[in-house]
Parts: sequence; structure tokens; C-alpha cells
Amino acid sequence: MKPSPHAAPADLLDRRIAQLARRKRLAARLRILLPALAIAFGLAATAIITIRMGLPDAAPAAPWLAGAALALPLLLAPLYGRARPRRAQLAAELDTLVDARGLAMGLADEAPTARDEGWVSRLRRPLEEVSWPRHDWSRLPLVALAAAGLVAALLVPQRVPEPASPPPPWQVHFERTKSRLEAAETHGAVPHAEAQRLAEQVERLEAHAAQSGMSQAAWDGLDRVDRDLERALADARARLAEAIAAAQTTREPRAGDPAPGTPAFEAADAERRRRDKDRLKPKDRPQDPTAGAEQAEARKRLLERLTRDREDERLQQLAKSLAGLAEAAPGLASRLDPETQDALRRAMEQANALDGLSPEAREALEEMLRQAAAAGPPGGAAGPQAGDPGELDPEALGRALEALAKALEEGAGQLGQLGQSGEGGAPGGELGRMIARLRAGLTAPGAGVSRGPGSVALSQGADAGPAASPGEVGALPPGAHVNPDGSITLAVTSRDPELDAAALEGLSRGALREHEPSNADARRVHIAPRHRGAVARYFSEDDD
Amino acid sequence: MAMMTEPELAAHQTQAQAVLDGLDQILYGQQALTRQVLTALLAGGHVLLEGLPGLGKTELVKGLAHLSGLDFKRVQFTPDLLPGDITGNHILQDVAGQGRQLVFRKGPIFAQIVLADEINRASPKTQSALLEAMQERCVTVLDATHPLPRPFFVLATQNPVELDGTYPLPEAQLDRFHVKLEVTGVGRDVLTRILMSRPDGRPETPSPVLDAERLLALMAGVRRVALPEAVAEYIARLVDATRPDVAGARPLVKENVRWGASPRAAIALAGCARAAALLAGRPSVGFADVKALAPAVIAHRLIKSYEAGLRGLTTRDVVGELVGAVPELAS
Repeated sequence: MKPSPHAAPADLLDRRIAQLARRKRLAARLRILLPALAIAFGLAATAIITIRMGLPDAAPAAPWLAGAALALPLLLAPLYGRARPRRAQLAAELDTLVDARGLAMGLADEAPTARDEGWVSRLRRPLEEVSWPRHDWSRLPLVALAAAGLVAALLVPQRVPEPASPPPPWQVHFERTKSRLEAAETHGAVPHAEAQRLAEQVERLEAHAAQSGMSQAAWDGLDRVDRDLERALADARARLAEAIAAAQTTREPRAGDPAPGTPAFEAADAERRRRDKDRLKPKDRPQDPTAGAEQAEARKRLLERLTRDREDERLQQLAKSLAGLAEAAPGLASRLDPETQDALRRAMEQANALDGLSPEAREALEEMLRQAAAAGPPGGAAGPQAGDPGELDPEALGRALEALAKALEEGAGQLGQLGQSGEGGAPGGELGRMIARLRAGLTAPGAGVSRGPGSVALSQGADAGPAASPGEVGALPPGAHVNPDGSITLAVTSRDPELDAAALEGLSRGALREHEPSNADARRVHIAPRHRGAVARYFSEDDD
Repeated sequence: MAMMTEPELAAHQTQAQAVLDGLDQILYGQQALTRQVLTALLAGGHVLLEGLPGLGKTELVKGLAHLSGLDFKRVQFTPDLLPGDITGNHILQDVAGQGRQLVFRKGPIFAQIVLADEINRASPKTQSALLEAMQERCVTVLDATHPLPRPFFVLATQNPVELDGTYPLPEAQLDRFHVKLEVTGVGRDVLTRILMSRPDGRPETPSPVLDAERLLALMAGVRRVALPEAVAEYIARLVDATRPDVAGARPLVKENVRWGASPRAAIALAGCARAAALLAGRPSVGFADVKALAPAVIAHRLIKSYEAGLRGLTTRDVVGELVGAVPELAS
């Protein structure tokens, strides 16, 4: 039986074979360990340098990385060289080492007790004087170099990141526009699609400004977004005013009717009664007393129908205004209480039954009611109460209109806060004046017959709207020509101009200089008429 | 089997060395050749000697027969030689009291050392008559098998195949020769020595230093020479490397060898390595023994490709390169 190279050595030959096996295992481990150490040190040094240069948060991991680079190869090295070399191969290698020309191999194949003493003694001296091959340390300098790199990386001081640069001065303008846009969309003053378009435009302008600075084109684009937003808010306010006016005047005489109690009203009422009486007057007076009772009943029903016609007419007006409101301010629906929602729904049904709504208006009104139902009652109140599914009586309609008027007033207040003037929601503000005008039978600014491009209100009095007060940005009427040289003012700011000393020096020398973006809003930009086409193409939607 | 002791090995080596010394007195300046011939003989194998006429091949075989004290017969192979001329024939003969009977008359193959001179001048049919004798050490004629005497060796000589009137030996025949040795000319000093010491050009007939029994004991001693496992693996890898059809065959073999060596080559190589170790006085085979004998043992068993013939590459060149290329220890 051949002895194992890893068993207790029986004689010199077996001891030498076992020794050779150990040396081979060690050599195999060194063959793996040294390159692994060099690679691990190198990788750890690279990682630590990266941390030192730009990852201060990972600084505590640097010593751990160095430790892992040292420990991992040492832990994994014993896994290599575990494969024990075969005894025959070890004997052959030993035979070569001692130049036994096969004798060591032949003896190793035999059991120690069966070996001939003569041959063993002949082999003893070479075995005792065997010179083992040296281990391969040629990669040790590489390991030392990598270790030095690792130590150097550890000694590199951690670089502290520079504080973030402050935002550019024009950033606040974008933030303001975005917050206004977000608030307008939240309150339902701007339709979602429109708000999305404006938000994308603001994002593009901001990206452009961040990349190449706040140019005049960016300023103009931002102003255009502001104007679009302001126009949408004004539109919503106008619709709201119409709705409130319609709600408040539903049960009141129409604007053209004379006031109750006045002689004109009494005369008109007498005339109307007379016409009704004539219409109710029987053409052939019946002889049968029962026929008289039937005619009296018929007159009563006709009177009720005529009364209901007047209510229906006003109800149609209210529904139209509500439909317009639903298009301009869809977010207001969530502010209605369930009772008002129910009353509105029934009013809409009645108006619809009377064929007083266009398909678009009916669709918008239904959408508003759906949103109101989906949003639920404000303040966690119970859902719509199951009421009488029939027609509204005058008292119920009155209560519903009062609730609606109240909710719309609240919405008007919130919408008014979005305006730049800050007085849109005040009782005496722009919205209040619009409501008063509507109740007086006047038209809203900008409404009415258009005379084409450049149409401006012919008269500007107290009803033409407030003039911009100092410190406030005011929009000119569309197409207004305020500059005598024929140019159009794109934006006017009343902020005090910030004069650049260098620019003043340049002006004094007659040199043309570019101003910083922070000064751009302090300048009036004039565009000659011959350049209007180019400017329009530049700001056209297609180019965006 | 236990390894030979030192005295046993010394006794065997002395006897073998006596034969070698005698051969060196017959064939001057051919120590390597005579050593390899004796190596193959001790390994129990047959020897094929190739060389031009007049180089001493026949004298070497005759001297070996005399030195070993074995029965020796010579057959001169000619194109009209028939198999029966080698193995023997049945002849009609009067047997006392039995009348005329067919009696088997043994041919020249029935000898302990048979010199097949110029074997490649006979037809392949006649050459094949030696197949059974060389491998099975018996002869079958008319359903009767006749054992050959022990030990039995065939030492054949052949002229290079390029000469006119030669028939190349078939592969099966070649495979049965343990070694194929090329006999080359000698130098001027050796030639001068021959001229001075041999007036008639013939060596003196040597006295036997062995007999059949001692030769068989010597051959048994060869079989007791240890073949270490690592050396056996090396022989296996070396022989396997000559095969172009195995996975991982070297390009040298793929391009130049059409047919590789057989397992019989590995057996012959191991046997010859054992004998070489014994002649060197070592009880165990070393890698050097294998490397030294590999070309002589393997080369004549390979069939080279047509491309190798065009390149002028011999199978001995291929084996020589393989010996240098195949590592002693498996990786």
C-alpha cells in the first residue's frame, strides 16, 4: 500500500515527499495571493482616492476598504492550493530534484517496509542535501507598490465639497410664475390642459436660461406666460361674475323691468294682468255652472304655467352661466355642499328639459357636477340627501341659489387672491365691479362686439377698470397703441430701475454694452414695426 | 512485484554488459546501436534494422546469436520466397511401420534467433508469414499449431524502401517489431580499425556468454524493474500524443500523421525502458529512458500523411518533437 503524502512520514523519502507537498501548496497560494493582494490594494486605493476627492459621505468606509483589501486575499488564499498533489507526481518531482533517475519514484511507489535498504541508503544523501526550488516572489514588488499606493490614498486629506452656488437672481421670477400657475390650477381657475401647456413653457424657458443665461427672449417668454395666466384668471373671474350675477338676479326682476312698487311697474303689471285676463277670458260664456268651475280651474293652471315660464326663463339663464363657469373654473365644483349640488343638478335637469342649454354647456355642467360628486362634501359632511326627485319649489330653489351664491363668492375670493392686484376678491374689487356691471345689464370689459385686431374700448371711464398703481405690473388692452412711434410695448414694469455703473460709463463713452439679466426688467423694449413679423415668428407656438 | 535488490540487479547488469562488450567487439563504433538491440532483446521484442548493404547488420545479428548461445537461423528474403519456405511444409515420407504419411518439416522460423535478412525484398504475402510467429510465438500449418522455441527473436534487416526491388512492410508487420533501428556508416577511425584488425573483413566468432536459460532469467529480471506511476503516465501521454484523431491533438501531429501509435507501442516502450534501466544498473525506470527510446519504438508505427512526405518530414522527426513537447509531469 502506498503511503499518503500527508500521513505521518515513515522515512526520509516520505518526509521529503510530504515536505515537497507542503511547499507546492505554499507556492500555489503565493502564486494566487500576491497578484490578488496587488489587485485588491490597487482597487482599494482607487476607491479611497475617489472617496477622498468627491465622496465625503463615504469617508468612514475608507479604512474598511483598506482592511478588506488586506483581509480578503488572506482569507481566500487558503482556498487555493487545497487540491493535494498526487503522490506519484510528488515523487517524480522529488526524483528530478535529487537527480535519482527514477530511483526515488520507484521507491516511493513501494511501501516503506518493502523498500530495499541498499537503494534507500543510496538515495539518503541526495535526499538530505536536496535543494528546494525557491518560491516565486517576483510579484512582491508589485504588491509593495500597490500597498504604498493604498497608504498614500489613506493619507490624502478628505476634500470638503464647496457650498452650493446660490441660485441665479432670475430664478425667483420663474418660481413666482410657477407658484401662481400651480395655485391657479389647484383652485380650478385654469383648465388642466392650459395649465400643463404653460407649465411646460415655463420649464423650457428655465432650462434655456440655466443653459445660456437669461436672455431677452427668455424674459419675453416668461412675460408671455404671465400674461396668458393673467388672461386665464381674468376669464375665470368674468365667468364667475356672470354666474354670481345670474344667481343673485334669478328671483329679481330683469334689468330692463321697472322696479317693483314704482308706477311704471304697476302700469306694466296691470297691462300684463289685463293681457292674461283677456287670454283667460272665455270666448263663449257657458251656461252650465259646472263649466264655470272648470274654466276657473283652467285659468288657474294657465296662470301657474305662465308664472313657471318666467322662472324657467331665469333658470335657463342661470344654467347657461353655470355652464360657462364650469368651463372656466372647474375646481369650484368641489366647494359646493351636497344640498346645493343636488339643487343644481335638479335645476340643470329642469333647464335641460326646457331645452335651454346647448350640448357643450350641458356637458360642461354635467362635468362640474360629476367633479362635485367625486370630491365629496366639503368639511366631511354627509353626501347628497335624498330629496324630492320632482321639480324644485320656489323656496327650495331660492335656498339653493343662496348657497350657490355663497359658494361662488368664496370661490371668487380665492380666485381674486391669485391676481396680482390682490383686490380681485375684495367686496369692492374688480370682481365686485364686474358683478355690479352684470346686474346693471352692462357687458364685461373685452366682451361685446369686436372691431377686429387692435380693437380697444372706445371710452375709458370709471367702468373701464382700474389703472395700474405704482409698483404693480399692469396689462394693456389687446392691440393698444400707446407709443407714438408706432412700436408696441411688450412689457412695462414700474419697478425702480437698477442702474449699472459700468453701463453708465459705457453710455458716457457712447459704447453699446450688454446688460446683465437682472437689469433687463428695468428696461423698456421697443420693437420697430418692421420687426414685428420676425418677433411674432420667433415667439410663435411652432418654434417652441 | 518487489523491486530487485542491488545484488540481483548487479548480477543481471554484469551478464548484459558481457553481451554488450561482445557486440562491441563485433561491430566497431556502434555502441548505441548494439545497446538498443540488446535492450529490445531483453524486453522480449523483435528488432528491425534498416540500412544500406554492407553496414554490418547481418554480422550484428549473427554475433548476438553467438553471444547469447541461442539457436540461430538465417532466411534470405527474395521476391520468390514463399511462406512455406519460412514456416515449413508437410512432405510425404515413409514412416516406419506406418507407411507414407505427411510429415511436417520445420522451416527456418523454428530457431531462437531468426535473421530475416532483407525482409522487404520478399512479397507482402511472405512477409506476413512471420506475423503469427512474432506475436504468438507459434506457427500454424494445415490446422496444426507448432510452438516456437523460447526465447524467440526475429531480427530483420531491410534496405531503405527507396531501393529498387523492395516491398514496404505492411503496418501490421511493422507494429510487431519492438524497435526499428537505423544502421548508419562509421567514421574513418572506425573503418581504419576494421581494416587493421580484420584481414578477411569478418569478425571473429565470439564465445557465448549466455544461454537460453540465463537469457530468460535476465528477461525476467527486466520485468522486475520498477515502472513508476508518473513514468507510466508519461508513456501513455506520449503515445496518445501521436494520435491525430484525439481531442487536443497537436497541430504537428494533425498535419503530419495519418495514423498514430497503438497500445502495443506503449507496452513496447515500457518494456524497452525497463531493459534500458537494467542495462544502466537502475532498479527503476526514469523519464530519460523513455525519452531515449521513444523514437526507435514509436516512429516506425506511425503512418505519416501525404503532406509530411512532401515536406520531407519523417515520423522519427515527429516523435522527436513530441518528446520535447510532452511534459514529463501532468499539469
